[in-house]
Amino acid sequence: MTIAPLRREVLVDADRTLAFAVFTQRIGAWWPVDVHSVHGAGATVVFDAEEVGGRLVESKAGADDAVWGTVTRWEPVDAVAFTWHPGQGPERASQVSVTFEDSGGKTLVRLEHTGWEAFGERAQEAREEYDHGWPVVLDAYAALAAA
Amino acid sequence: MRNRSAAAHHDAGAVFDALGEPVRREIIARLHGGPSPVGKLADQLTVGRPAVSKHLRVLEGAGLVRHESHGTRNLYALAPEGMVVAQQWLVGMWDVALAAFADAVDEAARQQRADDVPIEDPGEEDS
Repeated sequence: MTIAPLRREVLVDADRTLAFAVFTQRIGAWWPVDVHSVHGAGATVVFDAEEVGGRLVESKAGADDAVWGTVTRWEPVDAVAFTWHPGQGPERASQVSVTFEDSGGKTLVRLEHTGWEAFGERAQEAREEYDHGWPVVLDAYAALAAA
Repeated sequence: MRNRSAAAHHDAGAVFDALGEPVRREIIARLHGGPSPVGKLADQLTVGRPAVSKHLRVLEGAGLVRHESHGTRNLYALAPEGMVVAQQWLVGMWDVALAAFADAVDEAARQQRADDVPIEDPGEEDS
């Protein structure tokens, strides 16, 4: 069973340069860590290097850094893509790709989340982390997709 | 909005709870091969028939499995719509994140426009 990619898009009233910069350099300013993070409120998120191989890292005082993923594509103003494995190891990564497209002076930002089949069967932990509002619940899909 | 979110959490929670047990995931995997009676599932698994029945009830309660009666035979089958709830939750995460992102872009664009407003003669040029 293949799982359909998850696709979302949002049109923002800014040029691609600004939209790309806010998504990448300022992700720590807008990512909703209070509801979607490993460590919860007070954590910050950052791309630790602006290039392929850079990591998306969540930090919080008194807690170990949590690596959410690794950059696989870094093409300023056009696209950024990264693996996605918050709360677990890179062997269980899915893929997130974000593109920035000019739309009459505004920017259409498209996000695609694919590769959930790569997750293994770890639904117990998924449930535990789900209680903290974290989508490691993707594992649950894998249980259904693995067969 | 808060209520709707709470309801979604509850439903998705039932799905994840149901999938949080290895035997139940094994049942799901078996059912990928097609509908099956309880007895056949029990033969394929290491647990007894009463346990399988109990797991099937949990899976059915979460909307992941449904049963169909064919004459005297009771067949269990996957109910794919159960995963829709879980998927909606994930979609919800990206929607929350992207809405926050769009707000941040708006704010940044406002800031940029404010910075760019020429207060006096904007005669200065690059290079």
